[in-house]
Amino acid sequence: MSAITEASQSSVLDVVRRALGRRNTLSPAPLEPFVEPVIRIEVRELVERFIDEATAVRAQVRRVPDNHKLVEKIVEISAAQPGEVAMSGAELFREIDLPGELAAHGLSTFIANQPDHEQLVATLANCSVGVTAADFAIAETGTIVLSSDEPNALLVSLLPPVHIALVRSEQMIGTIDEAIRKTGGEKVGRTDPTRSVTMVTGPSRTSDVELVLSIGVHGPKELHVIILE
Amino acid sequence: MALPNPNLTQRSHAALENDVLQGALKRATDTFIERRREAITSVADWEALRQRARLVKEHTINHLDYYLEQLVTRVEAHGGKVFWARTGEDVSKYIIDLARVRGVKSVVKGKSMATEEIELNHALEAAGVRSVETDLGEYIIQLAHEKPSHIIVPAIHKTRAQIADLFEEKLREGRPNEVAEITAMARRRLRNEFLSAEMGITGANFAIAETGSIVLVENEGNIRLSTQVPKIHVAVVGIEKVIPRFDDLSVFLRLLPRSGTGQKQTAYVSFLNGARQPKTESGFEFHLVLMDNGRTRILADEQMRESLYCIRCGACLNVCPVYQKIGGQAYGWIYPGPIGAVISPQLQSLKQSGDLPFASSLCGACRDACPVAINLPDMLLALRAKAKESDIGSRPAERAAMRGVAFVARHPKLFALSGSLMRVFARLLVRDGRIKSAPLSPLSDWTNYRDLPAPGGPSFRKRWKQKDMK
Amino acid sequence: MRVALFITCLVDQMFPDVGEAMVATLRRLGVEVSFNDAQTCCGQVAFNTGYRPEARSMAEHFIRVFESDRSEFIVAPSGSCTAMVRNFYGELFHRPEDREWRERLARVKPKLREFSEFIVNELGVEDVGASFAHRVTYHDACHLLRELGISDQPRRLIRSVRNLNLIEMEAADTCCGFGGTFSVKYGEISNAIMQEKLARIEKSGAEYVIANDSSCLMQIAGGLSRTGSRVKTMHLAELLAKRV
Repeated sequence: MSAITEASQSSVLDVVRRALGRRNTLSPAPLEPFVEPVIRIEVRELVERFIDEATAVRAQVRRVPDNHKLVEKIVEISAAQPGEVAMSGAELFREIDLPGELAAHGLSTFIANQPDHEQLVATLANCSVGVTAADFAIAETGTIVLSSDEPNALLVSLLPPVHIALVRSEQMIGTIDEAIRKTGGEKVGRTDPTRSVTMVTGPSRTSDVELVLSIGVHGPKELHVIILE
Repeated sequence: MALPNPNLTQRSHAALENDVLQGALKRATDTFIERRREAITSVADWEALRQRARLVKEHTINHLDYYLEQLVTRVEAHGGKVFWARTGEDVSKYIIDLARVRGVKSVVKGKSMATEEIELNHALEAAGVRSVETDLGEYIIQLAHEKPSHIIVPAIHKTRAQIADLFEEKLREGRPNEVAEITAMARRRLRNEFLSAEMGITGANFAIAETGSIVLVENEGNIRLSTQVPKIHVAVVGIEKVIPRFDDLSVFLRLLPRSGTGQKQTAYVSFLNGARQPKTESGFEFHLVLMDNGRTRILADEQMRESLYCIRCGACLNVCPVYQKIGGQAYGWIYPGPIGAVISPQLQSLKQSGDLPFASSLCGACRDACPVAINLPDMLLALRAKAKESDIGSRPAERAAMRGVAFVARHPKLFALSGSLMRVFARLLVRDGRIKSAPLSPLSDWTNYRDLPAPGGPSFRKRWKQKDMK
Repeated sequence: MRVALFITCLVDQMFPDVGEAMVATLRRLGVEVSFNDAQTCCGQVAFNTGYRPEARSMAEHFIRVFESDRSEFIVAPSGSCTAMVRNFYGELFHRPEDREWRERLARVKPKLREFSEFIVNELGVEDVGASFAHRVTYHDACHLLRELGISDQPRRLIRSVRNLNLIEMEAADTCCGFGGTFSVKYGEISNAIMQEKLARIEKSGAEYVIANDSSCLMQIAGGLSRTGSRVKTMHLAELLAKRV
């Protein structure tokens, strides 16, 4: 690394202080919190609202009443794709024996819990489907929230062209500001500070060409959300 | 009257003569305006959000030292490295050195105005590091060797046919005839890049001081790939991007997508905290490069400080009658529209882009559209005053004329007399009750495009006296 | 009710008929009108072009002219000139040593009203007894709309004119492209913006386009004339002075 001294490193901060007319950093009184003028979504409406919003952004949403139907749906979606089905290291998949169930239908699976990052990426890049659970979901925008708590969920939900996300109806929350408080609150209080979070709203898209919508750019072309009630 | 900068005039002229561009601009700005209007209806109190966002930015910028210190402390505590870059060269040098030490041969880049500002790709290429833009719009303009024409959709000035031609020529995989084919071709090509690059470089939409997080908003997934696949992630972030607390984010997450693309939420929002540290592997690095590059100059000027509140949404571009006609490239740099006219002369210099603030009718539509309620017209007026006061921008003949006008305006009888003279002169030019052409500038600059009504005579003040209107 | 006229240099020198119409309308509404012929120009052009010292000297003259006036209101037939005094004069006297000027300005500023704002907000009148059997459309001048927040009052006044048909054009609130010296410094861009406005005016099917600002009207009229259009422009004051 080139020789960059402490002194020159903090010179930007010095310039900032000088620009603000002071020599030493001043601690401000914190801003008052802000109560967002949002219409709260009733608990009983959360799932309906989620489905409306997610569908509007081209996610395909299904509701299932039990694990059996859940597996059925995953198999159904996966069977329509040619290659391997990858899944994150979520506990849920072990509980419902998803690899076994998929294998029983002649589908090849890959559990993404490899230590070697490059190998993991290469394998996932050749899978057709990625299955993850979710931390929670946001009804206001039809968003599912994934984090690095779920082993390799962020890559499994990104590299294969089809992403299936499983969320329980109890995991639904109402609004963006609630989601932020949940994400941030947990983040600040947690002992593992390097948690990454990704909010996913529909499949990948662009309007860069003539503002014409095109689905499936670099991220998944299809997003399937299965809600377990 | 002195001539405006011929370059801006020439570039505007070229833009106005370009029918394809005119069509693209109209389609794009009309669409964005409609989508934004629609998106705002899904918010209970848009104005309250705007005012709150402005307040947060104002507070943060006024205490930028405190919040930057907090940000750095937290990022470093999470295993990230922070580099303070005073200039663009500092940024490029840091990244090139890092690439050299780590054996990085190619880089995948997420869309970042901050890196365009400093021409990072150019520096990387010169140092033998391949840098590929992965946002579709940026990829297109990189292939075309052009500058972006819009903050959100950089290639919006191109038609699908033009892009198809470009891809055919540069990628040599046949001609993609539909938009879907263009996208598919880019996906295929860039997927290889993501999988082989050793480093991902992005900007950041927000940097949260309280938690040491950076927040990245996108639709394509290229930023997720750039930050999750290569082991080294470098984020180049302007110092003004910091916000105090995680909770402060939700207001911006409501405002930004709606203002930028008319979406309630973009496809992906990533929150990254320091280095990825899986228990079984090492080699993951996160570098936060905090860039000044002229921002402290803006910070030091209390009148101009609110220029730093900008969250780069592009809403002001879409509603600007000037942008709607000349498009982004005519502005001559990378920041177009009202915000471009405000920050370019400050980040560059008055000499380089001091003409931009004058190329505005001061209609104020930008201020209404801005999600952070920046008083853009006031900023433009302030820059105009600075331009006239500086040695660079001053025009002695124009100033003399203004002084003359001011002198006359302080002497009512002289004012009345000069008015009468003006009417006498004007009458010489009147044909069929109007003035269609005039020999001298600035009158000829007017009559080039429109008629001038014959001045009504006598003046009001004369009528008041003569007709005894008292 | 006594008002002092802030006639504006443009109306005084270029469009004096507007001034006469304004006086006639106000008198018909029982308002006493005075005109101090020491007034000249508010300095907007100098300010907008970046010449603050020159603008300031003109502002000082303005304040001198109007500070001793005993009228209850100062009324102007222009949104941009009203906005100059109301919103921007303060910036010309912002230094600590300008305290005295700020106080003098404070005696003048609160009295200032734009013409339509005065009639509707202060007189409480919408129907001035005018009559004009034509199709008209209304253009929202930018400073009037965005600096002063006035868009409802002119429309109320227009709608109350007998036999008149008010047609809203598309995007009435978009700029006409004038912008002061911008119109000549960047004439080609100004013209391109103007063409959009002219197209919307023609599309509305109106015979007249009304606005409260002579600067916009000068631009629009100049453009309509150049294209050989049959649409005419008219200042709101002239419209309100029309009778059967």
